[in-house]
Amino acid sequence: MIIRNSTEADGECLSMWLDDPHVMRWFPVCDKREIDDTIRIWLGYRKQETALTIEKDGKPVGMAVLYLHPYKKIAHQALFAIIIDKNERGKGYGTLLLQAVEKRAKEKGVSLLHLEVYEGNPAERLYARSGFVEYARHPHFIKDSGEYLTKIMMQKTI
Amino acid sequence: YFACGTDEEIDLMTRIWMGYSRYKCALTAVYDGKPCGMAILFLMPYKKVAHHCMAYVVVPPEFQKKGVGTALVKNIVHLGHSYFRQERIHFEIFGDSPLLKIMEKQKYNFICKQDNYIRIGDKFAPRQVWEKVYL
Repeated sequence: MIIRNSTEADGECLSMWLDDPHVMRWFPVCDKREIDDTIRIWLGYRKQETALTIEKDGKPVGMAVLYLHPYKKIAHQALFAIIIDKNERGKGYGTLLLQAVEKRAKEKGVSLLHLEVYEGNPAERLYARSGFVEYARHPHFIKDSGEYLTKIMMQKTI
Repeated sequence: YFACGTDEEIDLMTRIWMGYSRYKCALTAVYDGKPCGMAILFLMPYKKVAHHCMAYVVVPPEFQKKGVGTALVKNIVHLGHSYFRQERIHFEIFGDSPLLKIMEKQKYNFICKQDNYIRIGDKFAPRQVWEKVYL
């Protein structure tokens, strides 16, 4: 198992994972166009070395991205996102990737990490176990097939 | 009350703001033919979140406390609801921005506060998100 900087080729796995309806429900995207746009933005952070891939036996099993700010006044804090191949969950890869994100964030001068997770997403447990604390909820954030989901906002000082 | 600080950052922020204006979701307040403030909707690009957006307002100091901000907030939110079918419009406010008083006067709903979000001088200040709901 290794964690490395993401490459453009990892976009194929990211696309496959996001295109699964059971995964897509936890992301704000809903079709191929939006997935492609998300991947373009996600992999754009390769230039800043804040897009990470966790690999097992030479095959990506998860990815993470740290969205660094371009403005100095808010450069001390950053949002991040994580996705793990649904067939590889429960094996600790999310925890390892999260640790790598924290390490990379510190290297980049970030001291406050935050995330957004939608209510019902089991990933919330991973974040809570890793020391992230809820600081706000934003109701009606997602609208999917007429139903609304709350966005839960969590953060951790690192 | 904005995240940008250097000339380069101001240019970047201006480019982003004016990029949104292509979608006719930006308003400029004019006094005696001269711009005295702007408001903009950051429309969301994805369908599941397209029912709401973030709005920003800027009024230069010489035009503050003259009702420009209040008018811009009312008009941008009206544009968002009537033309862009927004159900909810949010304002992200940093520190003790004068916009906070407008949010309270116009009875916006407080959504959240995140401490230590922005560095102002030697100190850290929070950001707040307030919301107007149209259903």
